[in-house]
Amino acid sequence: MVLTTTAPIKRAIVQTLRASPALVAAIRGGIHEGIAPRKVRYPFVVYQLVSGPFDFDWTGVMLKPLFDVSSYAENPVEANNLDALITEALNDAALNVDGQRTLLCRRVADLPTGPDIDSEGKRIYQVGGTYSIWTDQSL
Amino acid sequence: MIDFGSLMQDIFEGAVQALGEGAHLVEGRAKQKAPVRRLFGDGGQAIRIKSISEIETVRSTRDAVFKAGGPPTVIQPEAYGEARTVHGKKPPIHWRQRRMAAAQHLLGQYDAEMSNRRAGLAPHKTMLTRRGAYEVRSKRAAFATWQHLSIGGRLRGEIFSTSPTVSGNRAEAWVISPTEYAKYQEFGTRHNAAHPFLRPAAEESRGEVVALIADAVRGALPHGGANVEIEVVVRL
Repeated sequence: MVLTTTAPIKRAIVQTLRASPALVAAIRGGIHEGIAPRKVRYPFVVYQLVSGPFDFDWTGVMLKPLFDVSSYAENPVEANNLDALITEALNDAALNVDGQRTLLCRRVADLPTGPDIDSEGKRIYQVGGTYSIWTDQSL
Repeated sequence: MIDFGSLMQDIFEGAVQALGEGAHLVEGRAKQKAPVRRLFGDGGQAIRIKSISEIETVRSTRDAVFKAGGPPTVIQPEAYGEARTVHGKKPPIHWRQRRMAAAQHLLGQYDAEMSNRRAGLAPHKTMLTRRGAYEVRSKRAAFATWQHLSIGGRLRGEIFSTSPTVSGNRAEAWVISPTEYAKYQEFGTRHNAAHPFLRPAAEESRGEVVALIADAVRGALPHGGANVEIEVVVRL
């Protein structure tokens, strides 16, 4: 078997978020990895890999990555609502990861982020959480 | 007769000590992963990495040198012809040059080089990049550590771990990054992508910390044969 990495997990996260009609209707700026371009409309979602340790045993490998998923909006209510929708979509979700079996997808922490000023001087709110995902694959 | 009270005390003390070692381990990892402002270009002093073809190219030269009565103290293949130096993609960190005195000296070199270029002389590489020269001049990222004033690496230099504190049957050790912009590096902002360093360090060290504590507990048990339950929580 070919070893697959965290790339299909990222794909699965985006797929799962896009499968939520309420979330898709709420985000006008789309879903971005790492950082969103400057002129993207609010609100939008950013996800980022935090760490991705591999845990090998005799039969296969477990990937236990942490992902931050944050929503950015121009008002805190919208940001919090989006965050709730993201949690609803991802927490305890059975992610459809190519070449891997999902064992766990759970929100394990909130991000202690506050309001920020963007390049146009607008106050924006970042609300999000850290998700722990465990997947398993045989080698 | 076994004094279970003192035995449990020994086990707990061993676990607490191991927890302190674990916190040091996480601190070291976090320092390795902490993003550091890039002040230096390769400047001709990068780590020398030879490709296989280069090594093969100078093989005959090396053989000739050995046959002619042994190698010189330092072999410099460039002196014999073909081999070129391949520079690593990532420049070295230059710990010593980050000290203020050394950085000021490098700034002097940089300024001299720039005035030479303005005078129309052929350009030479400088240790400091343009960004590095700006940082040294403005002292924007200057910080003091171990009684030395350094430039850049503040985020890394200020990470520390606390000694374990005990309250009842619970012990805690923290790895802290007190720099005010640490949070923005760890979690990202609208303008900058996140460069997490604390959480990956904690995650990667989790198994080793647990193993350290387990070893300490095993060492404290007189015959190694009892069930002891210790809960280890890594809080992000």
